[in-house]
Amino acid sequence: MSRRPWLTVFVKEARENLRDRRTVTSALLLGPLMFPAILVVMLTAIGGRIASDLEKTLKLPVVGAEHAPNLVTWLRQQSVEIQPGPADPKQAVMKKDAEVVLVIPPGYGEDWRAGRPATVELHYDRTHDRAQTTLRRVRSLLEGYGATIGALRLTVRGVDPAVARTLAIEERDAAGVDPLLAMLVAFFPYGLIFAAFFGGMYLAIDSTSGERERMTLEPLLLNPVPRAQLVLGKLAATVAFSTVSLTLCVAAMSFGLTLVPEMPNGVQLSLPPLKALQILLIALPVVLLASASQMLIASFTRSYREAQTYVQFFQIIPIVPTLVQMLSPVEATPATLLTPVLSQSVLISLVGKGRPLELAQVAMSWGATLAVGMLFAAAVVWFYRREKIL
Amino acid sequence: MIELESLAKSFGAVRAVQDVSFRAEDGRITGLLGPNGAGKTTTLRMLYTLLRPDRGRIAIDGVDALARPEEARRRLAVLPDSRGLYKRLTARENIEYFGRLHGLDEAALRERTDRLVRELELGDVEHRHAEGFSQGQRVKTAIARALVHAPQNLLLDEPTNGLDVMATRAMRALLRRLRGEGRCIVFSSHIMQEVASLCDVIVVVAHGRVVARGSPDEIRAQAGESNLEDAFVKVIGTGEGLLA
Repeated sequence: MSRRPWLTVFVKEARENLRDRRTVTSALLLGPLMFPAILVVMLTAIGGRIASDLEKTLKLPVVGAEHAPNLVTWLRQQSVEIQPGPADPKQAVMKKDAEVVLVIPPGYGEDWRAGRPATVELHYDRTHDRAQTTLRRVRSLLEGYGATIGALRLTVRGVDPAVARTLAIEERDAAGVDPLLAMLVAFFPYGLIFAAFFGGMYLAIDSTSGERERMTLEPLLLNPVPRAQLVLGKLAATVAFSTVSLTLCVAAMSFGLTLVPEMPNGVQLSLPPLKALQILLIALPVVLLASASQMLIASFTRSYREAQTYVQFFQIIPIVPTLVQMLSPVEATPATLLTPVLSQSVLISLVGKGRPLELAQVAMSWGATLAVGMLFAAAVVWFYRREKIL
Repeated sequence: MIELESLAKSFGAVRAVQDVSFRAEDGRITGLLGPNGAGKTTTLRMLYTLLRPDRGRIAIDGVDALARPEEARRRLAVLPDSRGLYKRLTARENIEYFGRLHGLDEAALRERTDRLVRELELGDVEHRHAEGFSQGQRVKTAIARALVHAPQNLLLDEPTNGLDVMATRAMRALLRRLRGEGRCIVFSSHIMQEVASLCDVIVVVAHGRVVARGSPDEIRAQAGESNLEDAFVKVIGTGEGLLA
């Protein structure tokens, strides 16, 4: 028995398009690798910036240094460059003349000697992003000084300093690290969807409006093969290219993140293989949606160029859910899970945050996306059955 | 054998084919002659089941083409007006693709393709990508592709269109050879000389209707003209469009 007709069409379309440099480049390089490459480059750059903030000499304007000579000496020993304080600390931080100003009030010495908590003031502007690293460093230095002296006082009185430490807190701040970083992470789902759309684009166009333009459509339709089989073969080839592109994208993302040096502030983005596989499975139904919708659009157009224009324009639409999600976080409700593309975006960010996935959620996303994809595919078959196809 | 009865087809208000009936026998070349726009291509497209007639009946070797279009297409080799090739496939791959879609198994496919490559002298382009083929090489490949499943009936829409003298001669020789094998051949043309030199039976079509039918001699007699060209002009009613 010979091959099923759709398989013959699939093999021919795949073989023919593998010989086309543009199709191969978009399916294997441009589509899947563009977003991971941008991500890796940007992350490395952000990491470098944070590192240089941390390593540069900490300059600290101090008002009233004479009230606490020991503290100031200790700070100098920690390589802090002590600068004379401004006349008006509040104005100085508001005008961003200084990132952080330390003010030591006159009562410091008296409190210190009496064993009471001695007050020091830190002036800073919470909305000044770049001051945050400096603030954290100053605060941790001051806390370190306070803890050291406190421990010494207890030791002098014959008490184990560990008694006074009821909690040992280690901070791991993951959220709101850097607005740029947050944006990159938010674009992650779109990067995958882009790869799925871009991977099969040229094949979808080539096998539909390209076929008509090259005058091969009429001879093709003269074969004793149901038109649904022809459409199925072409769709399968587009889906295959799209799947390869999507898989490469996830793999490149997973591998690319291992190349990014760990952020000096302890933040490390990573996509271990298991998570990558989860994300791939979540995104997979998009390939059918992308392929079938591109074929439908390309079928209606008269020429390759026209098809390319419309298909590329259409490709922008899936970015909408991503933008919506950036403006206000979308929850995983039945309504969002039944919306193709948005549901993938929501589920992928859940995986990204390390939340557990419910099978029902994934099933809803899969079901709705595949249903819409099949609707598009059915529309292509309908289109090919019309007399007007030529 | 191909039989048509009272075919009619309209596109909106345009009545492309109004009433076309004829029968094309095995071992004969039947020519569909008519000026441009007479309804030849529409008639052929209905014959090869790409268009569905509004009315009428088509039988290919006795198979009702309207009821069983796929079965009818298995018995047809068609060289349609659009005869593009897949440019990134070789001539052989182009031929084999259609053979597989016709359901040939690999052994039969290899044997048929080898034979067509030999008969149509496609040896030097067999393994070359179709990009850059000459017009003659393109048409020969398209014919090989149409014949790959060895059907009994051939439909050709203006087969010599755009061919140079040598390629045209080769095409005529091929059609005569296929007639010698007992096949039923129908081709359309607007070139009187071509139809006159090749055809056993001529069907003259004008304004969507058959206006004359028979051997060249019969058509001359029918029109009462001793010159075939004058006879054509007379049955069509005008000389317009017959100039090649």
